[in-house]
Amino acid sequence: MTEFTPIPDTQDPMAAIAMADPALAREIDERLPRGGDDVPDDILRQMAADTINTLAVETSFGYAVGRGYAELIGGGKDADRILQYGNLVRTAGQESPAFGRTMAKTLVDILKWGDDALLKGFLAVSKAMKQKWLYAFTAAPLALVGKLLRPTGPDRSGRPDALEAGWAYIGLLDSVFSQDLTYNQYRRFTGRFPKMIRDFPPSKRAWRIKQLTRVVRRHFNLGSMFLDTFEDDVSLLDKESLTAFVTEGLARYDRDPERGERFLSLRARSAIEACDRMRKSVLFHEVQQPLSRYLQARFGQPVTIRPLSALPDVYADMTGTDGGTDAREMYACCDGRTIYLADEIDCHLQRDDNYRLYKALAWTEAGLLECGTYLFDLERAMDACGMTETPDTPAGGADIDRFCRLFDHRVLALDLFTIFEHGRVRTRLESTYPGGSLRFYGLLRKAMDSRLQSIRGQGQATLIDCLYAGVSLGGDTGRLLKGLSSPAGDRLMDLIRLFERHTAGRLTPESSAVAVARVFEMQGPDMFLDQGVYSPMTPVYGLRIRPDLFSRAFYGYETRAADIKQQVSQKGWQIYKSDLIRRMIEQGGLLYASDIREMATSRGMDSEGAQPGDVFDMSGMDISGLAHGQGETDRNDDDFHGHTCRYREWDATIDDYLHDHVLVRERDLAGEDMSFYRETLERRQGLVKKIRYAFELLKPEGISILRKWPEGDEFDHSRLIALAVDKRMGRTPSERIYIKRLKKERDVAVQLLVDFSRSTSNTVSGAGEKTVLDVEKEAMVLFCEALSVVGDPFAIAGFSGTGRLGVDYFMIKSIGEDMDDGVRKRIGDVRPHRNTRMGAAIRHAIAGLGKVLAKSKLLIIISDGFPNDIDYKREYAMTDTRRAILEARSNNIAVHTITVNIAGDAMLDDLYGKVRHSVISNVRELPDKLLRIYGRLTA
Amino acid sequence: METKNNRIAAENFYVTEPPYYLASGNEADLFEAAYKDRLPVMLKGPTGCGKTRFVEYMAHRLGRPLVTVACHEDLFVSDLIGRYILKNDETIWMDGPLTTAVRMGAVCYFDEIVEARKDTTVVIHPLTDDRRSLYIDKKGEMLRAHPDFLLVVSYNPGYQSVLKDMKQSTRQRFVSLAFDYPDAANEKQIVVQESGIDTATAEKLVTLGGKIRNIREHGLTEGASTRLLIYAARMVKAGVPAVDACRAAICMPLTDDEGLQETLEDLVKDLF
Repeated sequence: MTEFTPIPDTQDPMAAIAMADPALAREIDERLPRGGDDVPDDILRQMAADTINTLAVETSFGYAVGRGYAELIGGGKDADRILQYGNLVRTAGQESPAFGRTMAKTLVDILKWGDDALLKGFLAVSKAMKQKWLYAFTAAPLALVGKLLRPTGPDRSGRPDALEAGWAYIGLLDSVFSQDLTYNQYRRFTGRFPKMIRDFPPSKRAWRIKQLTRVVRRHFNLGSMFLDTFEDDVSLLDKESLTAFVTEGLARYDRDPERGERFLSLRARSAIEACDRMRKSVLFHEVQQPLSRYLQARFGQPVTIRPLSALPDVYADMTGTDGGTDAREMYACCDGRTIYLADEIDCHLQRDDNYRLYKALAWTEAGLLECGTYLFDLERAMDACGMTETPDTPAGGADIDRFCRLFDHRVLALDLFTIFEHGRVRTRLESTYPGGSLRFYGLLRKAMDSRLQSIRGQGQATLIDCLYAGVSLGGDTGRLLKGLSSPAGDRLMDLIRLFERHTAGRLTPESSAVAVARVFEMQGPDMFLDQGVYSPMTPVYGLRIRPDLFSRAFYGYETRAADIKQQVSQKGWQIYKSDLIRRMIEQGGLLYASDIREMATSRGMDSEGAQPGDVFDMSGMDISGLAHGQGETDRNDDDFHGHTCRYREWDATIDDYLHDHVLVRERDLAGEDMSFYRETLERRQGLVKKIRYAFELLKPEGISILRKWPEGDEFDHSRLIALAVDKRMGRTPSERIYIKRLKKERDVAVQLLVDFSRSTSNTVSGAGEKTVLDVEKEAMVLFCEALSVVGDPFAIAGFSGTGRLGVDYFMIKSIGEDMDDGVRKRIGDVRPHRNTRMGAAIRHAIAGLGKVLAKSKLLIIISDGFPNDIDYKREYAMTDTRRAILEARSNNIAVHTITVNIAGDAMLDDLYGKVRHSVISNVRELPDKLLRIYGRLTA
Repeated sequence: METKNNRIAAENFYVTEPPYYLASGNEADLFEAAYKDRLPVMLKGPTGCGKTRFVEYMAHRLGRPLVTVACHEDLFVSDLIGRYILKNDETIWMDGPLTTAVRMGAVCYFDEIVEARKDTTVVIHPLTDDRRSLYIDKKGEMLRAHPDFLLVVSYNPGYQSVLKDMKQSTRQRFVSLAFDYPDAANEKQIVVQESGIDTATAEKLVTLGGKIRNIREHGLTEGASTRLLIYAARMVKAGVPAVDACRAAICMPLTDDEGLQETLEDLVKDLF
């Protein structure tokens, strides 16, 4: 761009842009305030001229310039800044269109800050880059400056972090481009650094970049190696710990560059240990297993816990919808089925405290589940509140939400419900778990106290926050009153008394609704409003009741229950929706006609015209939704020409076998690569060594000589002498005077049957890209190694498939086959397939094991859930699998099942037998535990 | 106390004090019915759920002496039947516990029978069918069982080793009674009775036991037994703080796994 053509005075600047590019003109017009009517004419003319000129050079350059102007003008920047933007972009465009485009985009973010020093720093570094490096490669590193400077968060609360990160990154660029690096080093920088830095969490960018800069200054290659460690444990360090880690690493580097490199690239054991020692944060996957186990113990059934990142963004961020918590402040929530916990907690300076906080969050959220918060029933609540008006709210939403919509101030109503309900749960937990309440509510109260103190530093605490602290957390009312004006203090005491009267210690969540209704009836919402506006409460760690999540999790149950309720009421009977939902939850989504009859009959006395002893008659009701769907068709792969077997299947609906119902197809695995097997052995060499040793001990010693035996093959001479001496002395001699030679044998044959269903492709929490199947494969490798040591004959197979005529059975190693490279390659070739028709796979394995001559036969099944296939679900699948296991036992084959990657389930007891299965909720422990279980089973 | 024919007097084997036993179902009636026809009885159930106490209770209720044999791997046939011993330059025969029970018409209880070697347990087979006899090979004597003799074995299906499972030829000689941990109300009553502790603490201990049993398949093999709950209660009664008592009497005996220990301690700290 060598020439600058201005827009003639007679021409409308927006019309000129529209003539050059109508789409861009429309976009600019939308971004400008009042379509540009209020913008000074000279600014508009410069914008139009620059946009049209740059469009002529290159379309993308023109778009970047047009949008840049629009953003600055729309953002209310003053004329000087906008003119400065034009000058800078024109100058950059003269270098090259690509450089101009990058600058046109990046300068917008810099000029928006209105910080001259920042602009100066950026221009200086971009100049240095131009001198050292090719334009084509400067785009990504330069563009990142703009991206880092954009504040994150819906309320732009991340402004200070963004500015600091921008400055830090400019410092890094300066450090890199002030060095004389090789072509390859510059390439490595532009190819790798911007991408990694962009992926740093916004709140951690600034200080991480600063530490990276310290290392880069010492040597670029050292910095490059250090950067890689952010994909590893270094990412767990907080600001102070990372600074200390880098300081230590650089000190080592100064003393001995090689040792320093090993330290800063986390290759030295001392570095890994230092990292572990220094880190304060705790990650979700570290607490997942202990918390799952704890919750299983407390509830007697599994409660799923997942990281908050598993929630879609729309649910993770509540700002603007219910006015309260944004994603950064929310540490836990619950949807009535799953407890979501923060991916990482680093609130406290000590790792133990952060670990305790995880426990406290899970503990309190579990309280909501235990006390039935999410089984809130609008009808029951209205009865309890004495409300008769039918709510004019959309059906299908969660009842808590529908209840809150009955009031003018929905957000306030939800906050009050949250406070009273948390209070009710607290009082219930205090009586059931006094020790736990003391520990965990104490921790939450402490956090709330410090928050209230900081609020008091800026003014007066709000009544709603004090009510939350007093009722939900059981805070000391005396201290709370100190932070309130006298009238507000009186109101707080009234509200606490109201809670004590209507809600504290009550069994059902509807009592919290009563308290909410009383507040609105008797006191009105005005006490919570400031000049007519309500500022939502700020619960500690963002702990709120989330009806939106409940709706998401139980939408199917809700609609089905609402439909049944409507049909029942059309027949003049009544049934509670929450009872139906509760039953469906208990029965894994199933609802039987008998359930409806029982529930309607038990509430019969409330029903119009019903007499004691009347039984609800379901005739005429459409209950087709209760039956299992049978619509899907079988998949019959006619192209298959391998070995097939047909097996019977147990049909729970007719209580009998369906003969020759299932077709099992033995499929071959190609297996061309042995690297997986080899790499697993290398990676797990420590464990392999331990396993070999442990299984050596299980190995029979051949002939064992038993001395001091009461009968045997020959005399034990030393015992004969003792016998003679005893006889002389008149004592009763021991009869154990023989030596017996026993041939010790382990006559055990084992079959490992592994689930290759689609779900095994799920990644394992906290293990990067590793999937459940990868871990299963590792377990197979170690299993082969161990069994080769002990000498037990073994087979390995996998199963999956689709439909009753397509059960695939993958033989990896048969009993008689040697443990050769073919087997090793086949393990590496295993891939996730489709469904889990477990009964058929077990029957095929029984058929294989039945031919083996061994005194004890063992079938070990590894699966990551319940059986599931087309027309093979829930009760049907469970009954058939149970039946197949019984068939195995009647064939003298012991069956032990290992279920991985789930928290455990009481239904597993029903499925596999009480002591015949193990749950490994952290699948990463499978390889180790599989062998321990095998050792225990055959010891 | 021995008689002149080197046999231990039956009085030594009577259960003199009535043992405390709280029935959880009709197990006592079933046992009595089996005893009436002298059918051998097998008691199945997890460790510490009250099998041994039940046998003592029944022996007392039926007024029969009780001979108990704790089974283990080194138990031999001669340990059960008897052996010759030297006494004052004489070789005399000394009955083993099984022979003693057979002669005196006692209830002979084999505790944890799967622990014994399979070639040892076959000796009981002739006593469990209509022969009701015991052949003493060293004496060449065929001993007919006393009309009141009853054989009882206990077996814990929680043993997971496939190699230690009970043989069908042995299993199918017994009437089987299944035992499990008592329900919460009964278990509370048992803990109170056996330890003398207050009801509120007993209730918490029973709640704790129930919760621990919920994570049995997470590596515990078996949950906290009623016996362990009673031990904890006794320690509390003796003045040990509840958390310490539970740790020592319940958490530590159940597992060595640190992760599991942490969960158990969390449960204890929730309740106390």
